[in-house]
Amino acid sequence: MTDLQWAAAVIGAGIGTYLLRAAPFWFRASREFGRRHFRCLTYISFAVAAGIISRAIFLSGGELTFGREAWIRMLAVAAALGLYRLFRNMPVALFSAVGIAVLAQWATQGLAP
Amino acid sequence: MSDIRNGLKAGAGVVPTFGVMFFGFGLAASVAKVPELAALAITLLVFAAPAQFAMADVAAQGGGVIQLVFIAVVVNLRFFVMSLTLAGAFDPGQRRRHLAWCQFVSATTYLTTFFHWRGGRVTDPFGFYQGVVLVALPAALLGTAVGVWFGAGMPALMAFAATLFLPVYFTLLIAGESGTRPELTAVVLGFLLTPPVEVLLPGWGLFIVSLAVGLGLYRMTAPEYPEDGGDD
Repeated sequence: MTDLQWAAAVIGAGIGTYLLRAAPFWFRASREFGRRHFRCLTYISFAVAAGIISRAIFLSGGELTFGREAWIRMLAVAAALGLYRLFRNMPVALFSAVGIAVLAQWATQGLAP
Repeated sequence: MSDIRNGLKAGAGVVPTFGVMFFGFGLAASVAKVPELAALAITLLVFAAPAQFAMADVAAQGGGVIQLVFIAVVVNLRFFVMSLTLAGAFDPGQRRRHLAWCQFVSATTYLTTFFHWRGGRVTDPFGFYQGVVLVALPAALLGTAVGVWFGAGMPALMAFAATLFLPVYFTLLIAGESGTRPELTAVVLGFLLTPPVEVLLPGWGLFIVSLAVGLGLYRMTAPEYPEDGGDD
């Protein structure tokens, strides 16, 4: 693609995405909708967060995976939960859990992915 | 002002997640031969790692302008629902400011703001959101730049560590919530159903599952929030 085509693609993608983000702020009715159906949007938010987690653990290259690396990611998630219960401190739990998983990955590197 | 500061603090937890996610995009863009400036402009104007990965993938396969714009918009459809939630939380008197800042609604900025606001730890959710964005945006741009310019030589172990921040960060966000039974059900269903649906319908899994789970639980459960309008 030429530079001009890249500029068009970037601007087009930016405008399209912005319109999706801005529409609910633009229309008064959508604000009201957000307030009235807060319970529904809360459930959606929890499902989005959980979906992002499982997608990051079990999807690789568009396919489901239950191999060693998926289990190490599960270990990271479990360790984060345990450490958070213990210390009630998010950065400590975040970095410690990632550290534990990296150690597990390093220790099992010779095995199948 | 204090909620902007709280947002900045909460944003500190977002930095590694954003840095590594956008580092990954920078790397993918570099491999797909996306020009360096275009890669940075995509991060600034699209600000959504999954859509950006999809754009890099389409570019690598020789896609043109129309395909790139189309894939970015389709993959980003979920932002409509996220903005809908935040629009209900933000003070309606500041619409112009919301329109200026809504460009940076993403899963991370939205969920961080939503969970802090819902937990009653934030009185000005828009200020809090601004604080998170002020930390997240530079992290995203820096991550992209590092990925584009230095990414190819990253050790495999570090690349693996980079993939861990996102799931662990969102796990901790949920863990900080005292969820009701339907909310926990939403977590379990979202966790179990998203990957298989994502395989069946690439790019749509998260959107379809979260919407179906949210609407299904909404229809099946009784109102529990005073703001809630019930079953209408």
